[in-house]
Amino acid sequence: MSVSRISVLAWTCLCFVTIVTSASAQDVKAGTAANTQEASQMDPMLKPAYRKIESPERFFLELKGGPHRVFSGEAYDVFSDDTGPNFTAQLEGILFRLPKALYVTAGGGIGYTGFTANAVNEQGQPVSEETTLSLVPLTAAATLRIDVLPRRLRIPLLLAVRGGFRWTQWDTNTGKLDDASGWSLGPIVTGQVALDLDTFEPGGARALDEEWGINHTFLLAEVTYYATTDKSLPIGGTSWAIGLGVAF
Amino acid sequence: MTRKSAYLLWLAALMIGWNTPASAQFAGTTGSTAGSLSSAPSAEDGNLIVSMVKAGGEEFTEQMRAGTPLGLRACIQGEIEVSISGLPNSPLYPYLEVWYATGNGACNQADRATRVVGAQNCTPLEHSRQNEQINSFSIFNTTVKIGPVCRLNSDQTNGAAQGPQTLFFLLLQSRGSAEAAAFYKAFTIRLDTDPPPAPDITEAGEGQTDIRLKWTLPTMTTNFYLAADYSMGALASEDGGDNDAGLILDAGATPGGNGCSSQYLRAGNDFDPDARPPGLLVTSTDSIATEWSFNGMDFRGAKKVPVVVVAQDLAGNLSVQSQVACLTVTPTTGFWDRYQQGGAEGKVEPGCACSTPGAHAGKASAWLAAPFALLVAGAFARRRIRRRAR
Repeated sequence: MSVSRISVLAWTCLCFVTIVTSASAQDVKAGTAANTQEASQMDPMLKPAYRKIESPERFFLELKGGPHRVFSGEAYDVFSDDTGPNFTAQLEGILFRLPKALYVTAGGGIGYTGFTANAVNEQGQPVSEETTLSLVPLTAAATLRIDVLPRRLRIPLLLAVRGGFRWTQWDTNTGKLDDASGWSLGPIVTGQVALDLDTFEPGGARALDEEWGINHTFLLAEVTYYATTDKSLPIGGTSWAIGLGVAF
Repeated sequence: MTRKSAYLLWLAALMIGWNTPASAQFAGTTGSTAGSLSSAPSAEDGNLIVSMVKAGGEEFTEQMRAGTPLGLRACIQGEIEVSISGLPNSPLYPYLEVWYATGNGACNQADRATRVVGAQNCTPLEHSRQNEQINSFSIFNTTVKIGPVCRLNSDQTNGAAQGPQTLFFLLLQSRGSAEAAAFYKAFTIRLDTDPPPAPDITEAGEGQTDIRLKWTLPTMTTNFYLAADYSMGALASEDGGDNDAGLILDAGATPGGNGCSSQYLRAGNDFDPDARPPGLLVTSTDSIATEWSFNGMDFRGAKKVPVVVVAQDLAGNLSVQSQVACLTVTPTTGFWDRYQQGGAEGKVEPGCACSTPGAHAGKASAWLAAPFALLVAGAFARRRIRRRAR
């Protein structure tokens, strides 16, 4: 089995296990206290004065993208006019929550970046044939996400820092020739600033929670540094991305 | 015929013909009285699928549906036969006649009585073919030549006779009878002998294994033929020749040369997609496309390869050859070549977890496993914590 297949299989297992464990942790069996409370809320005579409206929070999902130009050197100049972009989906389960202060989450992400350029002929002139480099980064990371500002001070800024490891499957072709493929490994560090949208529209946020179970939404911008190992294809560097994140 | 027996026959026709639309080429319907056939083809025509066979027995590769154009190429290649099966079994009407009329014209009882061969209005294609009798039933499984339809129409240059032609299939009680048909069916075919316009090549690329050719799409085109002459000037034209080798060489070229002219591929000339002389690569797109990628390896060392595009319409008519464009085969250098040549600010040979054709390193596996195991363990730990809390 190839490394890529092992990785994809492992990634699938990770997502499955994370989802199952998180979901089952929130199951409420019939007849339990929580269910009884819910039933009592249906009866106006028994309805308590305080009613918790927030649905359980289990995951963070981020969909993001941005230009990706992390190369340097003459070999990469063929892609100098191509900035990707990269697209990434990141799913993390909430491991720890300090209410109105911070989250500790862990999970993974998968993305794609493709570069295309014209190959060159023997005279160094570009021809219509194309040379490509595609990257599929798989990331396992843990995140510390601080939401004390919007929750306590109503300042709509979320701060997050993420550390993890990235395996990037790369593949390069010229014309119909498969030139080479492999993996580039290395740690990543990400700093993220997010704009908490709940602060601006709390009513809408509440409706979104009641209808869809989405607790929080935010616009994010992040910078990631990816340091590939010495024996890997040096595709690391600094890149940035913007996107949308939700907690649900 | 009583209404009950007519109904039974109609029911049998339904079971035989209409319930198997892919194979039933004939759906019968009853005429309870001495009715005419002046009605227009019915909506069931769309279910007609007929396979056409050339006179020599070679199968024509396409199937013809009712209303599908029958093109010039199909007509000029020989007799076209319509295979018929699934006709209603009837002991009472053992004779099959096939007539055709131009347009949606009629082949009514009076027209058939004239028996005038070649009349445009109503022409018999098959007269009173009696079919095999098995257990008192007529087994109709035959072919009908519709070549006369082509001959009567395809030679006309003004195109006036092009368009819909109607085939009438009749079951009769007696040979050559002008009686009203008890079973009849009308199908529409359409003759279209106008060739589509030639495509216009907009880009002829340069490369090693991915040499792109682009062209514009003529309307009503369903298929394209691409012909590339990689003979390096040695390919003979269809005209033959009287030089020493018996060949007419590409204009301005010598055998073994590598110019980009071709005597075989000439703008505006007719194109024979079945011709496969050595040195000519013919490819069919089999779809509506405006782009094709050649692998320069197929050109066996040729550096300049003339190429034309020919369009084919729904009826099978071919356009003339497009203008001749020139593909250029040249060694190319891509990212990986440049990387290996040491231009990158990195390793010339990225060893760990990299694979090139013929080599593979598996050191990434251990790196992959550890963080995943940690994450899975974390997830399970969280689950236990939640359970305890509950």
